[in-house]
Amino acid sequence: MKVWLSFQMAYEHVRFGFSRMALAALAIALGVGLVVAIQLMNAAVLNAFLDTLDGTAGRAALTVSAGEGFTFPEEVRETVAAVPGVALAVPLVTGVAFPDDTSGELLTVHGVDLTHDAEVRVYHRAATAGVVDDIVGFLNQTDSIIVGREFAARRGLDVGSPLPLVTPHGVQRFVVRGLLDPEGLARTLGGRLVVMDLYAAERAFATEGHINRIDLLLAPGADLAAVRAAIAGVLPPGLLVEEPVLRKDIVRRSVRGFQVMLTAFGFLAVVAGFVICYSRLRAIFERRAWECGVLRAVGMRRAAVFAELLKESLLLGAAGTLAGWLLGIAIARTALPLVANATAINFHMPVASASPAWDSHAAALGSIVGLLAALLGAMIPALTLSRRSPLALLCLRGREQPSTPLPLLVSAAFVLGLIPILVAWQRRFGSTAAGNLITGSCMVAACLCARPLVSVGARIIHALWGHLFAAVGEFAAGHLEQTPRRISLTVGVLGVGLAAVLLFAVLTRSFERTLVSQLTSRVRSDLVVTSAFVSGGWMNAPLADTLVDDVRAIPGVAVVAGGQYHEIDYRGASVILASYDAPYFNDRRLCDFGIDEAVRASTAASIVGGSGGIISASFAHEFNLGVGDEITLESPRGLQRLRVVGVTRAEPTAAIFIDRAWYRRVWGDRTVTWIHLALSNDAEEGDVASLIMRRFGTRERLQVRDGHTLVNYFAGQAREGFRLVYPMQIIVFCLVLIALSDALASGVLERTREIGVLRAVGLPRRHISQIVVLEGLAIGVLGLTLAAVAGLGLGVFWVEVQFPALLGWQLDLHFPTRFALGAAGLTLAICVVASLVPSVRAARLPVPAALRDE
Amino acid sequence: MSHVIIELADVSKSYGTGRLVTRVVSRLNLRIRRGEFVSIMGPSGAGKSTLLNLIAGLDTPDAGRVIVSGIDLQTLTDAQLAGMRLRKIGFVFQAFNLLPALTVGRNVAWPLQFAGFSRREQRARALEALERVGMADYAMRRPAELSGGEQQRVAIARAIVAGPEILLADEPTGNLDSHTGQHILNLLVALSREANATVVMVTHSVLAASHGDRTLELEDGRILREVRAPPPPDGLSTVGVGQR
Repeated sequence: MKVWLSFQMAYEHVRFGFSRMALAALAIALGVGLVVAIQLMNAAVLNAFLDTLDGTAGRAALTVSAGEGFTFPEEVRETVAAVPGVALAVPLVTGVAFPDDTSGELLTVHGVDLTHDAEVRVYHRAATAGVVDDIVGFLNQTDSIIVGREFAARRGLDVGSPLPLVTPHGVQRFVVRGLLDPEGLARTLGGRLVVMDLYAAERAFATEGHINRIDLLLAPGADLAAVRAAIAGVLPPGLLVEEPVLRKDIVRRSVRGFQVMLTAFGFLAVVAGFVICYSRLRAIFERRAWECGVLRAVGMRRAAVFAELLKESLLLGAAGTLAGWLLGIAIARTALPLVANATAINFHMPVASASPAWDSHAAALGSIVGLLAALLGAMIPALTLSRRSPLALLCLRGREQPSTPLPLLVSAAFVLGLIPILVAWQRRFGSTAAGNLITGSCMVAACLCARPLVSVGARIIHALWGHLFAAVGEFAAGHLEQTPRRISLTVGVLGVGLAAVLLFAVLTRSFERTLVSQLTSRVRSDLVVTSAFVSGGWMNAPLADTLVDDVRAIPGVAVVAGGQYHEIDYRGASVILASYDAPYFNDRRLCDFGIDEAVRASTAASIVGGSGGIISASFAHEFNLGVGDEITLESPRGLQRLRVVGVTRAEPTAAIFIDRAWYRRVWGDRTVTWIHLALSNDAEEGDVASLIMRRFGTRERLQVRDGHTLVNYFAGQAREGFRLVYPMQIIVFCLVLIALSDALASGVLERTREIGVLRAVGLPRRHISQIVVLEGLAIGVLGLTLAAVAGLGLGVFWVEVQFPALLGWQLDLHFPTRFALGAAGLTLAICVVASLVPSVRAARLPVPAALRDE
Repeated sequence: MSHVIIELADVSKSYGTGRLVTRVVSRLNLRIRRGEFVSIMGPSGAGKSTLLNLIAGLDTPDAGRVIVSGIDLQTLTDAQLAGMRLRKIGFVFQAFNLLPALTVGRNVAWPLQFAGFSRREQRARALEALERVGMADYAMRRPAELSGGEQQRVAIARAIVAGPEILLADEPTGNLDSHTGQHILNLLVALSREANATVVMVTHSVLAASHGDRTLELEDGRILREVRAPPPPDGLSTVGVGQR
């Protein structure tokens, strides 16, 4: 039993041959690193968002609101406070503001009744008196604010410093009259917190007498569920009572799809790493086949030989995993801002101040993935070697093991046959796990198809290289046919790695071009006015909707429509409620939803009347709805019924388009995010934009862009959201480079004697170099062919099926031609670079020594 | 009869299929006594190495029986055969076949590890085996640092470390110069006499074969001739183990 547990011999072999095994360990490390990094980044970003929620909710057990950002009369507080079991009902106005400069730093505004210490202490340990010297003076002056000490220190602010802030009602001047220590909500937000008196906040961020949240503390011993039910019974229609804990679940659910996608990308690198590991271990074990023969001849059992080889792979996997952890932490530290930004853009949330922390789950997942990849990579070669007779193994010194490609073909056929079944399953049940399984299966199928591709491709390349490079080319291509398994493993690595790169590119391109084409067809307005600040992701900060009328009065402006996006919950999913003023639906100078011209007028009339709405194709697909169906929405005024009067492909997200007048009436939101303008024929865009900026720009801190620039801004945001795939692509290219270098170096090593013969017969050094370089290029061409097929197949699957299932966005397929050509060129360049060292080494081999090589 | 440790009865072995079948060993009968040193000679393809592999249980006969230490090898499972090789048979290869990753000491000791010896016993017995072949000072070196003759002596130490009854040597001097080869042969003879181990050695060299008690000449898988050696000259018998 002891001998089965002993790693002594395995350790000695790994230590002795580590330089040859290092590539396998590195491949595992890169795969594990990416998986660990993604897990750490996902956890850090999610925790940052959840911490913010925790900090915002303070010690509240229940929260009453009308949905994100909507206001309601503050009298509701009295109703709620009277419910038995409620110890304290804290009315709040929350919002966002920005310092009046170009930093774009987002501040969370918390308006609370500062005269009630008990209410203040729900969020901050210190009472108001401990923070503000003169509480009476503070309350008497409506410009008084308290800011986080960290924020104040960064900006050199102190008590008494003026601080102009951009609010939905324009730029307002405030004075810092207190500083909050970094604890509670102030710590969570990194000091970017503005606390002000409730009544001042109502005026600056809502409307007088209106609040947007009530936080509730319960009496000791009160039953949470019973109190919640009692409050729900007394609330006016449209108001919701929720547990803050459950809000965290909603955030978790929302970002889950995105994080699953990132995890899937990480696993693609693991697959590439696994193939390299398998390829390397197979080559190493094959070179050592005679050693296994010796072990068996001296008396070691088959199972013991098998176990020793697996132990070696385990040690290798452990080394790779350890390095992968460190690499993962390094990647997470570097790329975390990219992921935080991408998440914020996708879910239009403020970018959270996330920092990666050691996570045992990530470490465990990385370890499992790394050790499994190493074990599985070694399993087949170890099994093959341990099953052969000792005599056969002893005869294998310096020769490739004979094998038949038939099992490979059968396996490939099986996996290829499995894929359509999984696709059908995915389409039927929308299972994203099935989608990830399909992705993995495609990668496995690509690996398995590498061998037949090499068999067929080698013949074609033989003819082509012979034609182009004469005898040297024929020698180079001939090597492909001599060692098909080694070559097919390298081709498999290239195929899988580059397919992943192509998949990322297809997805990024399709996302960006879909966004651009859909928005370009929809956004017809000459100019779009927005806040100069971003409140979260791609969403600009809200503006008071009175600005719509102000802009309408500008000379040269023919038509104006304000628009607002708000996220609401629909049948358990987060969707966008997009509201626009009437001209947006009935004037094609502002917008074109692509609705049939014959019904466009009646459609617009239904929407403006408040009885109908247009839904996006993504929404229609996600909820299986079409024209004529009815949708029911929860609102501050109770349940609202809406008939679907059109489906548009001019919006990529799951969205419902409704009339803003109706939205304002029902949801009580008097802000807009975009103001779309069409100009009269004689007006110049530049002149009108300048005039708007002169009249309102200083007051409101506005930004005026033409429709084309706005669409480009969104495209830029989309690119930003996908920026995190660039490091992944770099890692994949690194894997490809090392795999190819290794394969060519091994090839030179294996053919030392043959090279000696060629030199002895009279081939000059440069021809030997050329043979190696041309072999590298041939492998590159075959790898690119495999990658093109696998990458395109996966790209189509992700664009058409998996991405909509994960994020609910319907995309059009766009092929990144320029990127693909560039990547192909880069790959061939990598092939040349990878073959340089082996080619020089081959050319410089001393002939007599090479001829003596075994 | 009880002295017989290896017995081959009507053993035949062929390789290939269909028309390409080559009969390597043909209805061969052979008995080797305990402590005997038998040399096997013959041209390439005569079946010398196959005979050795059949005795070691590395290969199975198509017909006939191979009995080693009174056990019919065909009745043993693969694991039992491995166990027999580990404890009762030592194998010396022409190409030494030392594991390059292990030190000399570990190369000798590892079979003991799989035979279930404790780590202390492994060390002690490996050192003893190395001392017997005069290589104890090289225990911490790696095979690549040794000459061919030194490597072969380490290979012999590995073969004898578990105290086998039988030592099989497949052209042990084939890769060595004549001087070094002579030392190896002296070593095998001495080991055979000291430990009363049975040695079966395949060789191409008449001089090497002359060290055996008996020489079998094989051709086309049959024993063509059997030559009993005269008593060894006095000088040879005095060659000690470990003397270079």
